[in-house]
Amino acid sequence: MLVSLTRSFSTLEGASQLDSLTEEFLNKIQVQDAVVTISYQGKTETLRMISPGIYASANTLQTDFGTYTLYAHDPQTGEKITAASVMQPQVRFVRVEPDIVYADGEVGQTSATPSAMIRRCGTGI
Amino acid sequence: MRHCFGHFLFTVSCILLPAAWSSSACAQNFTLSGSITDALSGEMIIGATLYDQPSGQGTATNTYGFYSLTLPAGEYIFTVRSLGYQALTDTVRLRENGVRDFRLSPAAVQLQEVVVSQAEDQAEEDVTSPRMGMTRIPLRLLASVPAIGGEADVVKLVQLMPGVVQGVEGSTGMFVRGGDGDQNLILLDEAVVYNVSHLFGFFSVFNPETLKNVTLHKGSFPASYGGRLSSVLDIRMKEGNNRKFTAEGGIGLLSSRVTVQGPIIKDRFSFMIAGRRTYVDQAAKAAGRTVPYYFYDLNAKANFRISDKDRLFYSTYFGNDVLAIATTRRDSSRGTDNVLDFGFTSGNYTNTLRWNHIHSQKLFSNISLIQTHFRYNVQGQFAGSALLAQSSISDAGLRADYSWYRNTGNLTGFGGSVVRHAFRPNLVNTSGNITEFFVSQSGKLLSTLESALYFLQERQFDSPFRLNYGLRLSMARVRAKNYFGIEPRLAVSYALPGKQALKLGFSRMKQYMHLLSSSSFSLPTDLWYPVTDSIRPQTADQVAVGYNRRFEKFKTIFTAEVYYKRMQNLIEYRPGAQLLLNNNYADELITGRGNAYGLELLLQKNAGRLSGWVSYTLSRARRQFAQLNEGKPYFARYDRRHNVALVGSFDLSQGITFSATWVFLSGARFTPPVGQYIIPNTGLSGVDVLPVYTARNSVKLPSSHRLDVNLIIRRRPGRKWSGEWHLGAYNVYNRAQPFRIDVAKDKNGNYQYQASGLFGFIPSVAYNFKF
Repeated sequence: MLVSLTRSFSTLEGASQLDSLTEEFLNKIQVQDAVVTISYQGKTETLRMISPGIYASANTLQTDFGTYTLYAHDPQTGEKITAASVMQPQVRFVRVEPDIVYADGEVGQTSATPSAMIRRCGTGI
Repeated sequence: MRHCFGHFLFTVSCILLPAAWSSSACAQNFTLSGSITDALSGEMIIGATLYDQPSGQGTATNTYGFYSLTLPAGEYIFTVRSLGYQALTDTVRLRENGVRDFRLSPAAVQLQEVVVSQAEDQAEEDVTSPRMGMTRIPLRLLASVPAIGGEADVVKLVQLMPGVVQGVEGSTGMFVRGGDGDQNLILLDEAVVYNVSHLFGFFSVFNPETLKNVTLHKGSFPASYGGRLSSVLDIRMKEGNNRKFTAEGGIGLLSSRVTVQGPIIKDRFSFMIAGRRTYVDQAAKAAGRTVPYYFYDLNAKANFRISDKDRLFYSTYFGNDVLAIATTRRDSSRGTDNVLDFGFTSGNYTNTLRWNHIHSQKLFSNISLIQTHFRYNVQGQFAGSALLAQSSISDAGLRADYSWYRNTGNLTGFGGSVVRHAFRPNLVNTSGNITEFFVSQSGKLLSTLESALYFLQERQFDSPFRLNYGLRLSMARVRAKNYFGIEPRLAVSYALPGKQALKLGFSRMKQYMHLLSSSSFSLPTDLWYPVTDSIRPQTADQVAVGYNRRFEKFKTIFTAEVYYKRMQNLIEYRPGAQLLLNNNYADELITGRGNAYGLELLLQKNAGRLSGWVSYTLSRARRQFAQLNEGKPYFARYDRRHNVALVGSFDLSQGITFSATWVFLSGARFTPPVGQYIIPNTGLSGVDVLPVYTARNSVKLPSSHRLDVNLIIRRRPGRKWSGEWHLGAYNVYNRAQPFRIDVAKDKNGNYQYQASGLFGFIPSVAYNFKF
């Protein structure tokens, strides 16, 4: 399980322009060294920070329609938050058919930048 | 001998039994009926009054110029009046049932005393009538009241009335007593007009020169009206001059118009044809530029008097908005040019065929066949792909209304209607690469049958009480589902000494269709949808208390009304709704409830050199949906707390009129983003920035106010044709009327909040003429 923990910021910070998301700005909003836990089915697991603002747990079982409660505590500011959510079932893919579409319309040109579409087939969500 | 003795007994009984006079053969009642028309044009006059001053008995003409008055036998001196006409006095000896038509001559010179006396009877009727929430729109001010771009617009005039809130600045959206924009029934000669807007809602489809009478109902609805929750705007077109040919029109900065009318058979068969078109596109073309947009309207009417008892009317409206963009984009990677063709057309047409029949002097009927159609097309072609999307709604219906004038002060009305609505949303045809994203679909045809029966009674008692009550039974059938509505209506007035009255009213209204709109602007992609198995009819109950007083010395009427409205089964979009080309729209809708209450004050003067009104509305409107705003109540989008309008027109001389409008509106409500946060994107290759919003509609835009002015300079009267210059200015002191909040960079590169308005100072000049 991956959890991203960041602080919100004012609309006047102007970061809706992605090029204004400087490293300095990201360091300011990403919560580092927080205590992050996930609770489910009577168990509580602590997530480990794997990069600034990103916390992960490799052992958290994902149970369809199970309720997961997140708790985070930032020791620098003393802020605490909790949130709960219900795990949705995994999307079942019957078949994957990638369509490779080259930007220049030609096939095989190495300068082209391919983009792929994965078409979801069969039953799913 | 027996005959003489019988005559002797009859005479003695008349002398000795005065108490029995009213029921005896000596005081037999007779009915006088007829029509009141314009002496020059033959137009029937709506709401003209006919009063015998000594007895105070009288009546007013109905929507078709017909009146009926039952009085005891005797001699009466009737004064016939209507605003804008010279009063007519006539002596009538009523000895038997009879027909008397009256022809009123227009007041050539609007002398203060003449116009004032003409308005008195209308004012008297408005003060003592039980009807509340009814406003007669003063069309004589329509030409003089300032308008954006100099384009006189009846909907903009209606928006200056208390209880009516404007949506986006300059738009024709109307939000009446806390209701939504689709809760207004707008009728043009009894045909419903589904889209009343041109140019994304900035002008209405109603050519001002074709209009004869406009009435707005906001409450105490007569049982003859139904189908919408919040208001009825009943617009009647002129019938056509059946005495002589006339032509009139106007040339403005944005559009020009011309109206021609005249007799085909004098006094019997007349016509009216009117057209209007914008020409900015043509003017730009002549200057070598491109403005890819225009709109036009056509109105036509024919009026045939078959006999003294039968009259046939046909009226039609046809209008369109057209946007057509053609441009070429260079594909540099391929070295080719791609042509982009994009456009839309949207428009209405309506047809009404009406038959008026006078069954007897007391029974009048109107039977109407009505058709209306609204559709839009969006088409585009680019780089080998093509898309055509169409949606439409069509109505075909029959309506019958009967008025039984039982006796003076006792009117019974009854009738019914049946309408078939055919909705065809989202008909899509695609070809080329775009078929990957938009699949052709035929668009489900939805058909509903909406019908109603009604009964109403208007009673004037010998006491100060007047009572209007009625019942409307409505029904809508969609697929195999039937919805029924029982809609009681009640209005009471109690006349107090000194030309004042207290009033009380209650109405229940049902609405069986709704408008899906994804924008604050009127877009061609706004769609009307019917109720379904899961989407129930909307319902509103409204109670109102009112007070009216006429100040004779100042010839003004003061009106105060307090209302409370409760609404059920209101419709909204669920969070994240996808409406574009979605045939399963019902899945995207949620239902909830709302309420609204307010105080409306109006001081109105419709006669004299200075005329106009001052209005103030204090109102509040809230909504509650389980799936929105965490189920908590929130303010409606157009909950605009204070609404002030000062409208004045002053005749400086016979040839010059100055008018001004000042409006103040509290800001509308909206849901701004107040923060942002980042999340990793789905490819984990970067981040996305997402907004954090406030509670729904919890923030109010800044209040707005503006001043508009207009100066009319007329040619000297007496020549074969008349003309007048209109010199106007919208938003004289150039204040922004905020309609949204943006985040923008200032000159230092810092971000700041910025309230955007649409229109600043706009001067205008226009010339109107009449032959």
